[in-house]
Amino acid sequence: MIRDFETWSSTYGEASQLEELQGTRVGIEAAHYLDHRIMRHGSNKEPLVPALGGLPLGFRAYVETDLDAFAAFQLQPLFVFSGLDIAKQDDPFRRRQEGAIVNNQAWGLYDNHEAEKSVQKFGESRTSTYPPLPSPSNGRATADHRQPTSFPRTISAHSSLFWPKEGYPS
Amino acid sequence: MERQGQVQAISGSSEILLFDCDRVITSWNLEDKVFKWIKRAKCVTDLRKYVPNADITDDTFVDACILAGSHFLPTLPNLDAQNARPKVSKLGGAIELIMNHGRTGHQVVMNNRDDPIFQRINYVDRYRRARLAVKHHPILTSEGKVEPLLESQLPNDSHEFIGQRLPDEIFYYMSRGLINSRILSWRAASEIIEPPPTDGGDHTAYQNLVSTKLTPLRTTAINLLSSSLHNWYQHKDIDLKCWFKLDQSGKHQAITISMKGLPEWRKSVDTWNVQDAVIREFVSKFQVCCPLVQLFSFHY
Repeated sequence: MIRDFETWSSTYGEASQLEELQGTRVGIEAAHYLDHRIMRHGSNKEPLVPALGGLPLGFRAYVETDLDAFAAFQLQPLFVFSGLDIAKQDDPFRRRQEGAIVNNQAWGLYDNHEAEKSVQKFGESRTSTYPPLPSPSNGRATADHRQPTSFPRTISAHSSLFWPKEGYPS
Repeated sequence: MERQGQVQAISGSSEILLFDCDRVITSWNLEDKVFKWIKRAKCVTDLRKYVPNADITDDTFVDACILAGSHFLPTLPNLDAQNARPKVSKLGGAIELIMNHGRTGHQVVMNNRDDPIFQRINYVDRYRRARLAVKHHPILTSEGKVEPLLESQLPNDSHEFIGQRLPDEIFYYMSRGLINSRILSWRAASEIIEPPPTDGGDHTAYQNLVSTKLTPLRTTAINLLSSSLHNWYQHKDIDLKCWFKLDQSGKHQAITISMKGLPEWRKSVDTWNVQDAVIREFVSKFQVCCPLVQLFSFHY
């Protein structure tokens, strides 16, 4: 995510009807999709995920609803999962630690019997116990065990692959 | 992939614009059956507002994106400084600096190299690494080979910014979802990061579990994986950084996990003999999309 990009580009981004993509195959960055469409999306948002850990309870249903929506337009999503990370983060703990502070405040509200405020506070927390770049091999994001529809919904696990961050073989 | 006709559109984060692509779908609204997208050319046109009459090349645009701050590099400190104009976006600020100071991001960074902030966070060096990592980003070709972009121009010390090359076979397994990138990342970076759990992680029992008790399981997994890698990777120690281990200056302290003198797990695996029929039966229990099933349907 390039900083400020969303606010900057909001004025001239374009919106189109899904129909325009009918019959096409679209490469989707899985990490971005999961973060925006599943974990932080309005109707799918489960505020207590940061308190419970793990994935949202409706995870599978959310993904399957989206897959159905894509299939309705004969749009074939090809999810691309992240490979090895090339960049080294300054402080890999920061996001979790910030989340832990919000979680503590939320538990404080809970202890004071302010249930609604507590849930709201948990909703503000960005803590998640799933890795930020989910790997395809846990298979959960790709599970689809119903009968295949006439239009195959290809969910593949191509990685954009990177070299490791550092190292120097002698 | 788009250029090769494997897909007709791309959706993802704005960082995709760092690479060669004209349009990106930035968000889906499947409920209302619409999606949002942006055009690279429009981004460039908008940036011209900040620097009228200037010719913004593709390289300049990528430079501005990098300096604005992304996964590859933190924002240029000048753009975050207190006197920075709050109404100008980071990208706009970056393009102004680039156009007014030598026309390349490198020149902007070099002009500021004596700034103590730049020196403290080693920004010049990190900019160079990020810029080259984007230019020569490794990609998986449709032939299954992993190659850096513009390979012919690749400098000899490319491992400094894209790291050492692992065997193609490993990358292939990862691209099919057979190997999780997590353990491979541990090995490739020689570093394990252990962030706090949901409750903040104040309990010593949990701290003990992740810092000590899990180590034999981790070394076994890494050992098995690295037995097929370069000899150097088989014995290089790994740093474990936990959220609760801080030194006096408040920095995260690493625990060194020795990878030397471990049992040869590979030998016990070599004695395994899984019959074709057994693995077929096992694999058939999985759902159609499971990577293992896909792989086997390729090979048979």
